[in-house]
Amino acid sequence: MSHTAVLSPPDPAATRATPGGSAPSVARSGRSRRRRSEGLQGWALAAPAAILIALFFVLPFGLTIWMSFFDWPTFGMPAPVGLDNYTGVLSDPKFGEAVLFTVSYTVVASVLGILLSLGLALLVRPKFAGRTAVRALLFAPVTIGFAPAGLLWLSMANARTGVLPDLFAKLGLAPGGTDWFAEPTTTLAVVVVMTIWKTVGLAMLVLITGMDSIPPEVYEAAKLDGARAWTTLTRITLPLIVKPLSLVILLTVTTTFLAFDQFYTMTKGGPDGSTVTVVYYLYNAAFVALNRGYAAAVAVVVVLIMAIISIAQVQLQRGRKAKP
Amino acid sequence: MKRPNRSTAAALAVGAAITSLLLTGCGTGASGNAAAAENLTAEDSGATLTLWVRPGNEAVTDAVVEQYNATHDNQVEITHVPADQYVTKFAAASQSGSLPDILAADLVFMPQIVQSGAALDLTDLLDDSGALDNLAPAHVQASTADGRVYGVPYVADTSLYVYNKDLFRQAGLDPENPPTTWDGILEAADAITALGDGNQGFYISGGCTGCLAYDFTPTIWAQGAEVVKEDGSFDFDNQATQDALAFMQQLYENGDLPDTSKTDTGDGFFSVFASGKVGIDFAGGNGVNTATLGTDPTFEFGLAPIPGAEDGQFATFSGGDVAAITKTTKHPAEAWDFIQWLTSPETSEDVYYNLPALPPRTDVTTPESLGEQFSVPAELVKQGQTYVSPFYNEVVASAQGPFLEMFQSVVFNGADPAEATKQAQKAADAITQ
Repeated sequence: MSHTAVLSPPDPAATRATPGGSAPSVARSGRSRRRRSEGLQGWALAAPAAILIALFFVLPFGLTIWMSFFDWPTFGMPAPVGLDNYTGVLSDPKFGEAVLFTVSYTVVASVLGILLSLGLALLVRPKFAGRTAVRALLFAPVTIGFAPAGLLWLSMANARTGVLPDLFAKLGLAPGGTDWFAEPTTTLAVVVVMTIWKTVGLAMLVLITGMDSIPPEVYEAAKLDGARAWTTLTRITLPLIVKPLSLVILLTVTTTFLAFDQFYTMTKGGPDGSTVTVVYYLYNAAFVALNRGYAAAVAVVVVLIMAIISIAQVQLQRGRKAKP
Repeated sequence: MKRPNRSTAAALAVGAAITSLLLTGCGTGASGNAAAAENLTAEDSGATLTLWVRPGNEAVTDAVVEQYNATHDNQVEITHVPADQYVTKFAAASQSGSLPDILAADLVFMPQIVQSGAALDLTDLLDDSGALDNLAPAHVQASTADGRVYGVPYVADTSLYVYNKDLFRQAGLDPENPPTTWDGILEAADAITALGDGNQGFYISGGCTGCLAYDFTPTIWAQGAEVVKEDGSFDFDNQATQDALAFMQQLYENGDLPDTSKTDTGDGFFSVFASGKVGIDFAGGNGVNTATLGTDPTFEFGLAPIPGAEDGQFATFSGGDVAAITKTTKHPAEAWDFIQWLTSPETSEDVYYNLPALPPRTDVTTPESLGEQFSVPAELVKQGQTYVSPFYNEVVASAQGPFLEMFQSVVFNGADPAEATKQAQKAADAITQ
């Protein structure tokens, strides 16, 4: 394509091989001066963001790491305890259960959510009457917070007064008066459905944007070659939206792994403590047990798990790209 | 990944320096600048007093303050602090020296507040004013450490059971003689469940830790057993707790207690009973008042104490809010003026009973016009008990704590009470040790 040449950066090798270097020292000092001023400019431009990141990420995270080596009660003085908090976290079977539950919740909610957002994106991408309205409706739940969304679904799924169990009973799908929050499986199902309802719109929008950037000529060419819908999807659409799709996967997995609000409002970790996520475990340590040092250690462990997941995802995608 | 370069290292060093500065700041605890409590005399000088309350009891907390403001030069300004953030907000404020003049907290959190040293010793002042021996005992118990009293009752409430007299009549039970033993409760609940038509004999909010502390603990206390030991640790592994759990299990197995109780985190505390389909509901006096005062109930109901296994045994959790003066207040004399007014017999009689609400004092007569809805709780408050443990939050109030797990595993999942209390004991000991 012709416009790529315009957009590509000047070849550094070409600049280096400046012909006629009769006064190399002068040229070098001029270059280094320019480089220094460019460096300063770069720092000046990056400073606002760097300061914000330092203040609101590096500093709190540093403080969290620091606190994790202390017994830091809400009342009273902190005392250093070395690695005790970490051995405590890693040897607590309840933390293991929370990690296991969070991983399975992440897998279920992410896979279903991503497939559904892809399906919806394909459905509402072509032009049809009322397309904007349908897209807006699908996106609407994204605009409310997780806590109100959780409370809304909690009241809709209430066994005594909710509309959903009543509807299911009338349709003959479930016996009347069933309490969905009494069983771990049905509880998880309600939360997963709510989470997908709440998040699928955003993922769908990102994927539509990716699909819209595919030039129509590509589809026309495929059509001329007699490609069917499935082939078009797997050979053209999906490979060409790899970047937005990776973004959606990364965002979905990280936000799902860090789930808290929906469980706090809908299940309180129940029934029988079966829906306690890692962040819920962290909340309990910090705000119920009021043990801030221990909670800080949990936070550091969670950040490490998140880092491993994210790095693994990026590596996997790189590996896929490297293949011919 | 890139190796951190020199500038990254410099940034980290600066970060560490700021962190340690912040930490030194965090280390300084609350320092008192209030005058010595024993030299205080109440002053109505027109000062503005700040007061923290938790939401939920505005009908009492705000209405009482309104009365004080209307009759005094001092003016009390209320801030509503969300209940589940109260302790953390309190801790943060006490470290930064920004506590209000007066704190009103859920009485179960008072042991922690007293232990932190943030509250002013009111013992001598209350003794001189004549209030000390005439206040709701559970509130005083929760505010006492080493024989010194740091708080007074502000909102009084008490656990009890409400029963539907109409359903009692339908089931052939005597509505004027409510059950006084566990067997009596079981018998009445079975009879009402047997009426059919969606009627349930019994209800308790089985997924709500606060409600269970309030309404299940009295069945243990009624047998003469203690749940919290002197040192603030817990005693679950005993016969009384096992028997109380078995009693609740029986109600569930008989079909008197509905399945939905397990996931009721408090929204059904009184509303399930208000539907008119429940015979007996373990609830609380204020819940009944909030739901029924100023309305016209569609059925007749009565109130009675939560019994033990034997006739004559009963107990009650006296809950509500405690008010305390902070050590950091700049207006100790004015704050004491409010507390003195709050605990006077006149305020109990003229302000609280006019609302109407249960008063802080136990030596005033309940107006007959208020009926059994107030006379029964007012008598119960005099014998109210409470949890006095700094570990209440973690052991009892937490939805993942051993207390709820013990109750639910036995009552709804059919676990053996002896095994469940042993597990709960182990989990509670791990927290308190």
